[in-house]
Amino acid sequence: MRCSVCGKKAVIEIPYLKKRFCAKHFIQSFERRVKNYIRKENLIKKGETIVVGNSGGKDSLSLLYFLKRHFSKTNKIVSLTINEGIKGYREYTIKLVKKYCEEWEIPYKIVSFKEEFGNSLDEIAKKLKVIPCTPCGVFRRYLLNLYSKKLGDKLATAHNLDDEAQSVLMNVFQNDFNKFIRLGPISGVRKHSQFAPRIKPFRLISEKEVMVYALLNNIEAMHNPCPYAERAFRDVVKDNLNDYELKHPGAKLNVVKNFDKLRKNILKNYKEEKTFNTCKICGQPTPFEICSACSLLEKLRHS
Amino acid sequence: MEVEVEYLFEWKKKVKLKEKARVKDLLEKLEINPETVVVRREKNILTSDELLKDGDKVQIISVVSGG
Repeated sequence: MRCSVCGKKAVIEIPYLKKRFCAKHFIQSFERRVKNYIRKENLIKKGETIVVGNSGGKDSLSLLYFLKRHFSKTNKIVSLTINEGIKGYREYTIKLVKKYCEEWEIPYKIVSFKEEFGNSLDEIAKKLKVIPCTPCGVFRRYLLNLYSKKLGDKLATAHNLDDEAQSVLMNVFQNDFNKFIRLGPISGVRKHSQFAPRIKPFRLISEKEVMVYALLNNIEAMHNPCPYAERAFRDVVKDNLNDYELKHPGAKLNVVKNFDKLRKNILKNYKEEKTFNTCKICGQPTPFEICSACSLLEKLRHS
Repeated sequence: MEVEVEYLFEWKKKVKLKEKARVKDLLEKLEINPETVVVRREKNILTSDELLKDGDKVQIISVVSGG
């Protein structure tokens, strides 16, 4: 297979673009598409500090690398990692975060559940007698938002085309309109002074392309998924979507692009069903009187 | 012919293939959707039409992230 641009040996075929690329031209095409998307959606403004949510996985490390490479002249780029405290898992990814941030000279911050909440996720799940994914999601989102506001202006996450297409379909299947409408290149339609806008520069890039980009840039960050990963429904949607993409190249991109058209029209007349408050305990944004993180902490204190 | 396959860091095994088999034949035999993996030989990324040779050591990397 030969590169569509130069005729050299290809490393990737992108059926939905009807293109094949060698390493050099793939990196060029990838970076051009991401830069164009950032510009088109106005995701990053000159002078803003961009906080990258960095799990130490190939997606977030690739995003960090990309932003450092293309935006460090006009913006400050910072890495933010949440250490939930999952024994035998997070230690390894934190090593990767430190290794690459030091190599690329990017300031990084690691925030742990243990220091912030007095308990690791392993301990929290044991005490609350719940599956770890529920408190993990609540506390991780809480800390990502809190520290993104402390460290910078926006939180950039490495959600890719696969993640986004899966989320669109999952919310359709589950009839969750409020969650559905919150998806997009800049997450959230709700405004609050303590909300850090979340941007997704890789939103139109497939997961496979991100992996190839990582490998070509010597980011060797493959690891097993989180041992707690409770993704049953997402996995079903993902498998079906991948089967469909194989038979109908461009399916994932079409799901997201059609969603974007719909969303734009819906937002013109949309009013969020739930009102948006400030948590009485911590001052963070919440649809309730007390935010989910503070409610869980209260339960922990009584456990 | 036979190639040695490493997949998901979890298992290594030898896979028998017809002569002049390509990467896509290997994935088909293992029932892996090419959308979900990147295949490498000696750190070089291979496209689906790449010919495999007897004794090749191939790494199949899952592109699926997991937090």
